[in-house]
Amino acid sequence: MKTKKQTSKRASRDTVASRRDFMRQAVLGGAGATAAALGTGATIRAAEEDAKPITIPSEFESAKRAPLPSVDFPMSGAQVFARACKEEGVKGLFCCPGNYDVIHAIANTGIPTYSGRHEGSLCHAADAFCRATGEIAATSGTEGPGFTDMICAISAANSARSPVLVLASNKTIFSEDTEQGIQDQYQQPLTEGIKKYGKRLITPSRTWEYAGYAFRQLRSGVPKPVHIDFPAEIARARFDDPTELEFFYDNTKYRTDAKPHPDPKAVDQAVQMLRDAERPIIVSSNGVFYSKAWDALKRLAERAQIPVVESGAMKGQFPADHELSADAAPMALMSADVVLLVGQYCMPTLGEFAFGPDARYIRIDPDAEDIGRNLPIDLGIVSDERAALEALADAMPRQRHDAWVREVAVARQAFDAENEDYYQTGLGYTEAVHPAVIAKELADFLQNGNIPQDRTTILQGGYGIARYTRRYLRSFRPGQIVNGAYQYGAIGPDVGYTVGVAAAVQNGIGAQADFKGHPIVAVTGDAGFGYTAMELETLSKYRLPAVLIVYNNNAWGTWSGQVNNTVGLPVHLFQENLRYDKLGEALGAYGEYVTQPSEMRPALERAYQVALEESRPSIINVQAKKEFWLRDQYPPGFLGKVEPGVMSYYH
Amino acid sequence: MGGRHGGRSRAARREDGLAAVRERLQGYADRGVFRGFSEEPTRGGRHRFKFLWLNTTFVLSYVPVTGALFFRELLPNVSARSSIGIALRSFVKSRAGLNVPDHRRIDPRRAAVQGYVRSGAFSVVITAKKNYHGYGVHRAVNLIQEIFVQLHAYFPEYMVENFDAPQE
Repeated sequence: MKTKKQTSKRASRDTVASRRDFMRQAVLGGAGATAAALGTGATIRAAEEDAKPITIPSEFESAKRAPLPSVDFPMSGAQVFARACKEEGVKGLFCCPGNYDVIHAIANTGIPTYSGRHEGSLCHAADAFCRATGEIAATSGTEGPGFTDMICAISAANSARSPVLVLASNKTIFSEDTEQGIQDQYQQPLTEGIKKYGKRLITPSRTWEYAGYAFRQLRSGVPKPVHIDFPAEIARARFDDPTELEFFYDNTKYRTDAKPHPDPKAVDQAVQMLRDAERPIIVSSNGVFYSKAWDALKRLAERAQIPVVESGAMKGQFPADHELSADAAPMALMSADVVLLVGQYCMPTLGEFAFGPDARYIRIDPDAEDIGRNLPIDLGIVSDERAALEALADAMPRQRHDAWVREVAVARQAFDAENEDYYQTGLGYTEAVHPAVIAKELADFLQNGNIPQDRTTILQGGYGIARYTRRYLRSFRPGQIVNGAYQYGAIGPDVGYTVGVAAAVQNGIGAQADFKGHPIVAVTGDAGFGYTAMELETLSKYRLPAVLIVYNNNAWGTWSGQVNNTVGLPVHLFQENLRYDKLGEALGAYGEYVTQPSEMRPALERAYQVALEESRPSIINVQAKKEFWLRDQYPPGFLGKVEPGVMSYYH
Repeated sequence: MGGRHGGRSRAARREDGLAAVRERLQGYADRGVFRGFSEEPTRGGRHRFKFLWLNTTFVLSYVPVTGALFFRELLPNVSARSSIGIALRSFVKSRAGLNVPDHRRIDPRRAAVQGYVRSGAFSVVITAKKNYHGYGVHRAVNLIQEIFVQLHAYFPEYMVENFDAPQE
């Protein structure tokens, strides 16, 4: 058996050698044979060996060390808005070049700023940053094209109920409708239905006032994106002193931090319903995270011995190793007789959550207009989640539900046993790496080994692979798992999300404060990877220590549904055995290519070590095969899900 | 959980059974569990109840004389020897097992349960014993949701193809 050090060295040599081999093979095989005949192969080899190393420009370090400019009147409109962002506690900006006045002004306030390769990816990053931290993030793109690149990501953030501040430049008011120049775009109608509030700023003196409009929305109720677009007359307006701005006073005057508290009668009714229940359960979702209600949640759960299951765009408000966690006990859910839904902003229809037809529902939500939507309620409580959970915890008498807790424990054990069966079955498939092996090895490495189980923040992305990894990975503290594409179901945000999660942890923002600087892990599939893969370069240039696992089964996740469609099938397929690890290396990341189950764990260890020692991203390209989704050939095949709990991601 | 109605005439028991079934189903409708609910005209001694639930329209046939509650052709496109057909029969049978919690178990003393495949579709029948008709319909409705949970968990492609479940 090799020591870890030997393995690491060998891997390092292999990496160097394989890069050369790869280039050699590229020129000798297929189309490359022509190039070789022309002598190009030798040129490429020489070029590869003599190539200058990938470096990060010195300007990055200079920017880090540079003092922040002092900004005061006279100020531009962009600077006024940037000051509002700073005072309102915007914790990160994710953008591409464009909307220059605004993004530079925000960066100059000291708000951590990340620029990437595609506005959509960076908007996804902002969404994930919110979901990992519980804080507001801004995103920005330029005028028409940059802005429209963000649309899918804005919609995904809207479904995830993320407080993303979407900013975009927008030519000049003067030239509206003329098509003078380029990139003309009237923006606000395009975000209709996918934002909480939007405004094209047209009156320079109201710039600060409209910042207030934006932050009143972002900081109250159920969060969703807010979209502000800046014609040049606004961004470049000049204000010599505060008298030139409307409503220019601090945020204690233009909004309140007060939260709605529950009606005492409703609390009494809820207590009565919970007292009468034999098998009550609490569903903890987004609102518990954003209202930082996890302590109140735990107090209520423990006081009345009520199991807790999670759902939502992020996980970890209730620790998975708590005896009352029903997060990994899917087959117990049908037994619940009273369900307390807390902060479940994205509400399923009846039947999408696996509670039975006799379950009665209490819903706590800050938005009265949403209570009763999709799911019939027995009691609605309009309240901030923390206020309501604290009131319930105070009012609830101590109770015991031992038999019910035992039932949950039995269901948890059955789920673990099933997952172990899948893993053992997966180990038997040696021609490629089965998703159960990836998921189990990952969970063992991150959460059942030497690394503290609550340390690593995880971006839980992918499609088919996520149906396995969700089963094995657990969340032990708020913000530990960001739940991939979530309800919008976008394919491909994952590397963008990875940037956001990694930036959150790198800076130790919000819920990530205690985990500052630690490596993060992200999971995606090969189809999704293609959409945002260039953000590996973003991860690399900002030295974000993310370990990205790509489940490479040579196909879209839709493949298995078309297996008998001979003519249409290629629509769902890629070239086989693509080397995404090499792509990562070419962009400055560390690469691993895993083709055997036994290679998974060592590859993880090496990639994690690179993250620790070099603060550099890694990509582990794990070679699977598309046939793993066929249940009759490779049981257990493509898996479904049960919501809420570890498997949930629609709601 | 319904109740016995012993010591009375058969006709009266039939009426009571029907009332119990009707009341139980109406209760689900009143609580909003069923998004729509109607009673169809009786045919050949069978009472038919139609309801919209789980984003699907269900028809429950009830025969007061025998206490049988049918969900005929509940699941289309299921062949007897397919993995899904085998799994469904096994799952339905297991619901009467002692390892199932009492509050979810179909108590063989009060009702018999059977899942079967006929004409390429999966059907379920619960036969209430000793006039436990309210109990029977309660267990039947719960069983249907358990079956759907199982299908979402283990046969997602079937739900995509047959019940318009999202593919993502």
